[in-house]
Amino acid sequence: MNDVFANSVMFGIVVTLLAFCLARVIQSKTKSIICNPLLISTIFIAIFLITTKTSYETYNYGSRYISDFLTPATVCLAVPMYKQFQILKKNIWAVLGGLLAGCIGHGLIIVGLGIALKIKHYTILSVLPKSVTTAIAMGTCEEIGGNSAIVIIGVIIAGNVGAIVGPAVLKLLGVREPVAQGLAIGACSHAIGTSTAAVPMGEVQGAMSSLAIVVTGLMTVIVVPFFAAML
Amino acid sequence: MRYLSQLLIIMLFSFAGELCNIYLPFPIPASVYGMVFLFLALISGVVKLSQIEDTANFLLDIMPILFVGPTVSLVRDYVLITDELLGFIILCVVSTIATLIITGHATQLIIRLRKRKGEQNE
Repeated sequence: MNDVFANSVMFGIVVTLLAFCLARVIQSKTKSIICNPLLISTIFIAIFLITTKTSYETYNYGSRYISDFLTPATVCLAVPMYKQFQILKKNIWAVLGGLLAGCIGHGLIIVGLGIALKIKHYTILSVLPKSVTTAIAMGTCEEIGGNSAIVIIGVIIAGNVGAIVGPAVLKLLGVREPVAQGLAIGACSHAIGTSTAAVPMGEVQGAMSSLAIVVTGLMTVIVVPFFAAML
Repeated sequence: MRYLSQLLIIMLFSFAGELCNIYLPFPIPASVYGMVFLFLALISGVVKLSQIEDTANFLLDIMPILFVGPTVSLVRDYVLITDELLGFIILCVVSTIATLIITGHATQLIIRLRKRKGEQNE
């Protein structure tokens, strides 16, 4: 169907909105955490593109205009951060300490587990910056000489895993402080986890998760080159 | 009109972030520059919450859908990792959950230690 829709901007936009609205209906009907609307709508669109033999380029010709709003939407994460400024000030050491621990732990696990699983060093290098928001991950990946398409796959997996199982895992393992819950989701699942899991959990979680995107992003830029040197 | 003037302010901060991303030599994305600038503007009172809140809440509300397009790119890019797909997925999933647990518990530990210290001082 490439020829039919190749020059249509609305095709990608309509497909995206339709798939997402359907996914929202499914989520509200089933109330299952696996039925994360981002995951479900992606699967719908993937199946649709493959069965109708439509290329990603044809889809993205219109859908990229929706994604262009990512920058202003991410800028708006300053609003929940501002609303929770007092909690942030009170917990500044917990914020910095917790996020630094997560950042270093993440690097050690990627290198250690990657070598244990006999994954190519180039691939391990490429996923080192995967717990931060796409744009930082890509920039850092290029700085250390990785493949930015691979890191995007890692970023998407990280975002969805944290968004889907994050709240349940935290409750199960006794992480009850709202500040700790928000930071944990933001530190491993960046903006995807923040918008689909942390913001619905509550104002404090949403704000702390937004903050974690910024702080973990900056820490990653500094810390990742050291782990890259270990490979 | 309220929504438009609010959108204008948000877009100005996004634009400033984009310019910094283009002209400053750090691998920091436009959105993070913009978020930090808007946060500082709110704290300092240059921008009042009521001047952006409605449009900001709308953008935050629709944010999950903005990731759909980039996520669908996996349909095209998965070939890069097909020869080590299982290991790659294990690596990403395990490291993500481990980071979640480490950050959550480390933060909670620090919060509780400081609370205890605060109580002893009283």
